[in-house]
This record gives sequence, structure tokens and C-alpha cells, in this order.
Amino acid sequence: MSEKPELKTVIAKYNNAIIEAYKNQNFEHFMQVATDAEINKIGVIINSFRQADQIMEAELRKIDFQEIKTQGDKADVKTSEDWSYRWIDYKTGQEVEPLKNIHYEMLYHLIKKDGKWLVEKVEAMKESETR
Amino acid sequence: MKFLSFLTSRGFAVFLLAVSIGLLVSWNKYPNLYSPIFLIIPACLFLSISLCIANRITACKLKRDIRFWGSTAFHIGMLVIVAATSLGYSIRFFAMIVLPQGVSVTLDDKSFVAVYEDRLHSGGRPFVNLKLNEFEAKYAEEQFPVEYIADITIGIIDKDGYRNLTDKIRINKPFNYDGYNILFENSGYSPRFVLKDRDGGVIFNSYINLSNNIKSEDVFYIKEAGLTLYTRFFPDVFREGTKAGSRSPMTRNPAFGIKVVKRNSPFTDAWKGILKKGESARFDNMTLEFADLKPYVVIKVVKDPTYWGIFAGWILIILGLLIRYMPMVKQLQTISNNQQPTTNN
Repeated sequence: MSEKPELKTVIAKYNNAIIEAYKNQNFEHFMQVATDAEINKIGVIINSFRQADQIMEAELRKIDFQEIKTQGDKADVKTSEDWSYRWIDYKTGQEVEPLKNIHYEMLYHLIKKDGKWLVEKVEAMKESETR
Repeated sequence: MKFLSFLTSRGFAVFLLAVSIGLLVSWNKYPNLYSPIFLIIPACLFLSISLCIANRITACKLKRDIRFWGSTAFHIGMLVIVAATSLGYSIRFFAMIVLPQGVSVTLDDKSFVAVYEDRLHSGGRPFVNLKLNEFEAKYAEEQFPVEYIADITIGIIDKDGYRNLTDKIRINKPFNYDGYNILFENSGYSPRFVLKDRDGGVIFNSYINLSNNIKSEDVFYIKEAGLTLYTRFFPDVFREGTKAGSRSPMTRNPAFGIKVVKRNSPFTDAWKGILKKGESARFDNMTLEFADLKPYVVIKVVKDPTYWGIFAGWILIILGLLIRYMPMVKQLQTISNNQQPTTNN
């Protein structure tokens, strides 16, 4: 059976979990779709912003899956993504950075553990602000 | 030959039909009773009706009038319904999802999602996550609910990729996608209570699933502090002396009537009163705050390809009955017209 639908779902879930983690420091969903190393990496970044009283409110507009390669228990997925986000001071609720629309070209490295695909590493290959 | 006659007899078919209906009603009420082994009964019914049709076709080789075709259509309609309803339990997807406002819920999140029917474990569903953005309840004369509107965002994976679709679902106006129906089931409000110790340390901070019924009491426990809280919801609170009530079911001025009891002293109230949203009460070196009130909706996600089978089956049955008995009705009408006495003026 093709692994592609499952890989697409994991990447969509990963990105929704990132939104939740950045906004509410809730890593529950994140733990189901990423490896421990990736969770720790994102956790450090989120904590550093949190210490500066900043949280990110993000919206994932779309993901286009460009290329999916699988080899055994490893997979690489190239995507093209449209996001919008803004930074907020969570104590005052004031906007620290206004809403931005960003286009990303991403490369996801995934690994299959206990029959479940997990995001192991994410690379931003291209980033550009859009209107 | 006798056995075949028994299998194709009307009595046997009616008996199997009655048992099948009993099974369907039971499965509908108690889904856990379902076992594929019971499918043998509708399978026998299917076989019995099929043999009956085959029997009729061979018996009426020469005399195939319109009544014959009506009867055949009726029986084929029954076959379609028996097959569709029996297969439905195996191939249908049915889940109930609780969506608290602002929380993104994935279909595999067991805290919010209960999947009741997915016996083939058909993975690869197009929905990744659902979120309630806004909820609105409209009332007539500020008393009678006339409309519930849930604005939801649904993360979908289609052939082009991942997209967020936003739609407003209402009672009887579901969101449809790829054979799935997302229906509004019911809604309510969930309060967040915060209990702090005298140093401001948080003992408890959580949204609670409590009854929204104005007329009935509910209860929840804060184990961490050994407290039992009896609550009553007032969406639009008013106070007259010692009495309290709700002016309307609209959440204009939400409050909870609360009685706090220590678990080791159940007959003495530690605190009793009304807390509006944002208010707090102090007792026994603790502070209880009614911090927030969030709406939630319960939605039903259904994919039932057998629906069209049942629909087609009923149409065949109705057409079959019409074709079968219309000539008889016409005959009776003709006889009755011929027998009418003529009157002379």
C-alpha cells in the first residue's frame, strides 16, 4: 500500500501541532508526530520566545506536496507552504510584530518508528514574504 | 425439493425479515452488540428472496404481465435494502467529535473524538483536524432557540495538498465533503474554574464539562484540594433577595450558583453563593475563580455509501407496489362504476 497519504497526513498534523505549541505551549499533539530530538529542538525555540513574553499566532493556509521519496523506514517530502503569522506579547495581548504572509519551500525528513511515521528534521529551503 | 420450497416460502422470508429488523433495531441502540456472525440472518433473507424471485421468473415464463414486473421490482427493492442495511454496519464511518472553541482537534484524539463505526478501519480519511472558530445561538423572544450556527475550520488533504476550509454548519445544514457529512449535533458552554492557595499557587485550573441545564444541579470534584462543588448554571443571572435565577437562556450575564463542600466534612458548606464570570470567592485560605466560559459544539461525522442503496430500494418497492396493484385498483373502479344505479329525473 502507498505510504504517501500517511506521510501527507503526518506533515499536516505536524504543522498544526507547531501552531498549537507556539500559541499555547501545548506539545501533546506534537509528541505524536515528531521524534524526541525534533520536539526538544522546537521546545527550546518556543521557550526562548516565551521567556521574552512572546507567542506566535499562526495560520497555515495551504501545503502543496511537491515530491515524496521513501526508502525503507526513511522518507523525504518536499512541500510548498503558505503561512501567515504574527507575534503577540502574551502578558499584554499587544501585537509585537504585525501579520506577515510567508511562502516556504520545505524539506521534511521522516522516519518510521514502531510502524508510525515521525518528523525527524525540517529544513526551510526557501522563504519569501508575500502580500 | 421440500427444503427449497421452505427456503423460498413467504413465511420463512417474513420470519427472517422480522429477526433482521430486530437485529437492526438492537444494533442501532446498542452498537456493541454487533458481531459479523449475525450477518448470516440477513444473508439467509437475501438468499430466500433471491430464490423466490428466481422461482417466479421460471414459473411465469409465458405469463409475464405488468403485475409480474411490479412484484419483481418490489422483491428486488427488498434485496437492495437488505444488502444495503446489512453492509452498512461494516462499511459505514460514524464518529462524534467535541469541539471546544479555538482548539484544533485531530480525528485520532481520543479526548475529543469517539469513533463508533469504522469496522473496516478505513484509514486515509480526508480530514486532518477540525476547529470551532465561533458559535452563535439565536433565540426568538429571547427564550426559544431558533438557530445554532457553528463556524468551523476543517483541515483537508485532497489531491492538490492540504487546505483549510471554513464553513458554517447549522442544524439540518451539514458540511459535505467527499461523501462525508459533518452535522451539528448539539452545543453547550464549558466553564474554567481556577482554585488557588493563599500564596497564589494554582491548585486547579481547568475547563469542566458541567450541565448547562438551568433547572438541574451538577457536581464536580477537585481532588487536589479535597473539595466537592455542586453547581447550577445561570446563563443570564438575576438576584432577588436570597433567590437567583436566569432571565433567559442567552449567555448575557453568565454565572454559576456554587456550593463548596469539603470531602471530609460533607454536611458543612465551606462556601455557598453565586460567581459571575471573572468573579472569585475566598474561603479557607483558598480562592475560587470562575475564570472563563467557552462554547463547544458536538458534531457528527458520517460516511454511509449504503444510504443511496436504501433510497433506491425504497423507490423500487414503491414503484413495484404501484405497478403490481394499480391494475387491480382500476379493475375495482370499473366494476364499481358499472354497478352504480342510474337515476331518472
